[in-house]
Amino acid sequence: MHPLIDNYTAFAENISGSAYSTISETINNYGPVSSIIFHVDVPDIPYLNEREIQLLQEYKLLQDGWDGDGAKAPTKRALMLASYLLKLLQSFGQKAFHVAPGPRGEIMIDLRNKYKSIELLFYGDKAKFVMFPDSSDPKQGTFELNMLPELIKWLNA
Amino acid sequence: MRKAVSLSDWLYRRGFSSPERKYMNPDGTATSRVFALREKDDGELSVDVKSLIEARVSVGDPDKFMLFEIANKDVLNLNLTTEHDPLPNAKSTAHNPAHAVILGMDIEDEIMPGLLARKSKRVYI
Repeated sequence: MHPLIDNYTAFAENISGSAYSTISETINNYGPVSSIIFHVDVPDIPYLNEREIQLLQEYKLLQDGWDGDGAKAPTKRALMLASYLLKLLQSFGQKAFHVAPGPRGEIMIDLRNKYKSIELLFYGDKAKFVMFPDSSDPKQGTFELNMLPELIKWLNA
Repeated sequence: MRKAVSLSDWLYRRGFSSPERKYMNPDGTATSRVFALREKDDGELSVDVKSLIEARVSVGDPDKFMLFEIANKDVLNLNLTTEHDPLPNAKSTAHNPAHAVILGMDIEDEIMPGLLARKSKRVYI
């Protein structure tokens, strides 16, 4: 059993080792993502991120200016990638804390474990991650799918 | 004429929220997106100086917006600066004597909005 498990973190007992190793070795961009579905031992927690997936459906309806201050509507690509990530996280047994639209058409997925958190940000033309540790300085970078297992491992360590 | 906001002051920042509050975190706290810059901000994040405005006025429509407050000293500790920028000014015809801006943010920096959100607290109207 992994330490520091709460309602917002991974159900570690449902994550298989093969999911970690297979993905990190074979996936390095968004192209072949569908292939990993067949390599992951999908745990039986189909509704873990259903709230967030439903929110994405609602965010699809947002139009430019949705926040009354000129925010851009979420881009199709951001919505598609965020939806895919939420389902992938679900297959890992990783609960998302929240998903929210941003002013530049981005979608943010927020993952939390006590005082640590990760934000995954999907824009129309790029994706970024930010790691917020409990004590040291945060770190940001370009997000690539092959980073996901390591990011989740860091969050739940 | 802009002047630095007092170290001891607090700042208000509002964020769009529906009645279901789905644009905020499930616990009612601000997401980093509330403090994210947009292109039209030109690097200046708009806030209100708490000592110069009532919360109810700052939030505008409480059915559409939530209000968050953050200590100016917390903003300055992030190596940002704050300046009182009463409206109207050269860029805006709006009237808001409490308007101020947070300076020093970079639109490509995703860390700062997250830190500001985590330092902020919700103001219940």
